[in-house]
Amino acid sequence: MSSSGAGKRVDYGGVAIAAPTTIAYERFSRRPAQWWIGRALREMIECAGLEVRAVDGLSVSSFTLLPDTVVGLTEHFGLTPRWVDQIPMGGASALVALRRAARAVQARDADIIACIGGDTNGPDSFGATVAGFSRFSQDAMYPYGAAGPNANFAMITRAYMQKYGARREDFGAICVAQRENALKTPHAMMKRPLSMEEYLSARLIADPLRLFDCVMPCAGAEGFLVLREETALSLGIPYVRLLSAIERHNAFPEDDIQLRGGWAVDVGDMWSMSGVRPDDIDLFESYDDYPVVCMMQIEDLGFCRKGEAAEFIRSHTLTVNGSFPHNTSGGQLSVGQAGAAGGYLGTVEAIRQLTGQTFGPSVRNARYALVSGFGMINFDRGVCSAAAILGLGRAGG
Amino acid sequence: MVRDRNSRLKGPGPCSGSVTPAPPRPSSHAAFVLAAYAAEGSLVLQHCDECGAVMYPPREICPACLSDGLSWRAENGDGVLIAETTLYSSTSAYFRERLPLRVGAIRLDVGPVIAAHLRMNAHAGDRVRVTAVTDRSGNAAFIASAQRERCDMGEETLIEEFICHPRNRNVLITNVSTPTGLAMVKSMRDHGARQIYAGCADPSIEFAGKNVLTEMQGVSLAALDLRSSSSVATLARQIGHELDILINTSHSLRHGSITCAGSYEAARSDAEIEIFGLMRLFEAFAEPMRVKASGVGLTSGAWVNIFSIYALANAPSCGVSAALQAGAFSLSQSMRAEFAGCGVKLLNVFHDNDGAEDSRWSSAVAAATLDGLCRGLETVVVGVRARDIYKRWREDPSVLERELVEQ
Ligand SMILES: [Zn+2]
Repeated sequence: MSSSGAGKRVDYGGVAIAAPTTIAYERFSRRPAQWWIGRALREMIECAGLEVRAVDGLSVSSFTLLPDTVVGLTEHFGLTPRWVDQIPMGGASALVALRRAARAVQARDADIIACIGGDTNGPDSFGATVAGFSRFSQDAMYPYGAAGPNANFAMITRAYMQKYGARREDFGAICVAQRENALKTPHAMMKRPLSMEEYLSARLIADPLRLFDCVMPCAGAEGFLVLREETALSLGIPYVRLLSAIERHNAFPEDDIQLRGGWAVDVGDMWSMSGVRPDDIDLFESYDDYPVVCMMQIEDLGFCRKGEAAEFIRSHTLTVNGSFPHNTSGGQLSVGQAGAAGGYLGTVEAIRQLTGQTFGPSVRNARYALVSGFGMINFDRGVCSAAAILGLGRAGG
Repeated sequence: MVRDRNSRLKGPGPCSGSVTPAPPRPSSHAAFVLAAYAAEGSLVLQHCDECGAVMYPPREICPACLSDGLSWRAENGDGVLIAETTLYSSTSAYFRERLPLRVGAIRLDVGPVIAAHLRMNAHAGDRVRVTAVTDRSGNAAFIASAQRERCDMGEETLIEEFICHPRNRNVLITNVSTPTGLAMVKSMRDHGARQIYAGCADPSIEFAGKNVLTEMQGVSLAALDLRSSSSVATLARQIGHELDILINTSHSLRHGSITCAGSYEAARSDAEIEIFGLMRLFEAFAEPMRVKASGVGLTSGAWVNIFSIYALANAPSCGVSAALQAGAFSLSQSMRAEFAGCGVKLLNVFHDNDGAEDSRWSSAVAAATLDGLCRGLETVVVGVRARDIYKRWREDPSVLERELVEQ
């Protein structure tokens, strides 16, 4: 598989991303997805000092919005946009939304686009989402223990450990560092520090995965605005630039079991378009539904060679102040997985870090961030992968 | 059928508080195709008519060439177990009661990767053979076992539930005064049944093999006259609550076309057993068997009907009797629907005997029934001719009808 198209891609020059927005997560909520998404919309336009009608584009991602679509939300929220989009890509949603919105503002099909991921979580809604996730999973995974992603990623984790020699402690290092990062994130589901002993001895979920390898489903919303740099400057708001972005779906379908993602196809394009190198990256927000996926991203996005992520982790510290700041707000593993908002968490945190709008400590002098997304276990593997490199545009107060 | 489905077999009863939940019923056309073949013990996969690609999960369009010409074909299920896990957690209440569960991913020799339940002897890297079976809700479920050794079926709670081995189960055989009934008793006893109730209309009347039966350990004669609602209800009150397997051996095929003198009276008399007898059995035994099978303890039950293959397509030389069996077969379909999700599997055994029952033939029917129970099948066909007719019926019943006229 090759990443090259007919020619060089047009860059994302002039695109700004601003107003990182998070509606504080709740473990369970009686509010529907419409409420969570609507709250995020209001917060981001207030953050940017905008009138509602200035928002002329809306992109949403949600598993629990049905029977509504983005169209219903325009009427619900009183918007009259000239550009709407709905991205059903789970953990890849934010980056796919960002790519599309970036092109729309570049082409002036829209001026200010609100991109939002939000979901509610009732006591049964996670099970319902798993049960109804895809036709393939209904036909071919559900009869085997309502397997859901836990079973798939348990098999992937074990296969990865066997092939590349990763140990439980290496996955634990990711989880323990993220927990430390999460302790300063006020709405994180996980409030207590996590020790390696607790990680290793937690109850089994799907061998070898234990409790702290898995995310906690919750309700929440995250979002940001995509606009042109000149608009951001005239509004006087902090923003980041989009240096490069890639996405790929159903890569490597011939692989027995998923030990790599679609990033490996497009990683060269991503770095060459961005003009920066892995050493320049100040923080990495990876998609962390399971720690093995973080390792796949560290490799496939070029921080080390394939199979060497465990060694890479052993030689780095992953906390905000560490040598390789990773999932700096705690990631989904500690903050919680608010449905499609989980796909937004990393992008929103990267914008916060670069513009100095974090909840907790920030990475010193951060100028470049790599954000990665991964989503949709349609049958036995994650189908969507995406990544973007963000650079500081204008810092906040 | 939709009307009051819940109030009949699944209504609140004395044991409803402990009734075990069931997995969701199949919902796609492909899921029903997989299940219909799994019910016969076949694992089928889609093949592309244009490029030959083999695919799974089921699709509408070939991922290799975008053709929509996809046909189902039986596979031998051989492959390699490429990854495995043991689940200790599930989002489904049904599976939560059955943890831990071993599941794995298998690369089949014919191409695709599938998910399957794992037998105890199957481990990552092993050559495995995958078989298909229907689960409690009628979904096709795949089971992988290692090719190199026999299975230890000891602790496979969930897989045990897909099948209904007679070991330690209580069995009712509705009519033992025929060679088939007798062979069925012997087979169940030889394979570990705990208690066998040998039904006969009047236990005081002599019949061939009666003395053999009465000397068998764990076998007791039971008065059961399918022509009498009170007889059926009385036995159900006595033993229904402990019954795991009911084998209805009361159907018999009689010669005689619709033009024969007295065919109407004969049909009316036979209908009391073939049609109304089956309904009486269902009315009396279905609810207690459902309660037993869906109670705590993770068990399963089975209801077996022994039919002539002519229940599927009429042979005019025994046209009246075949019509009654067709009616009974149709009833069995509605019984299967009523039992769905409760753990009682409905097994129809079709045979091709159209004369006297000899003991060799009867033993073959009993052996096929046992095999069907042990493999969790819902359809078993015994005999070369029956298998031929069954195959032609699956292919095209309207052609078969015309062909049978000429035989
Ligand atoms: Zn094809």
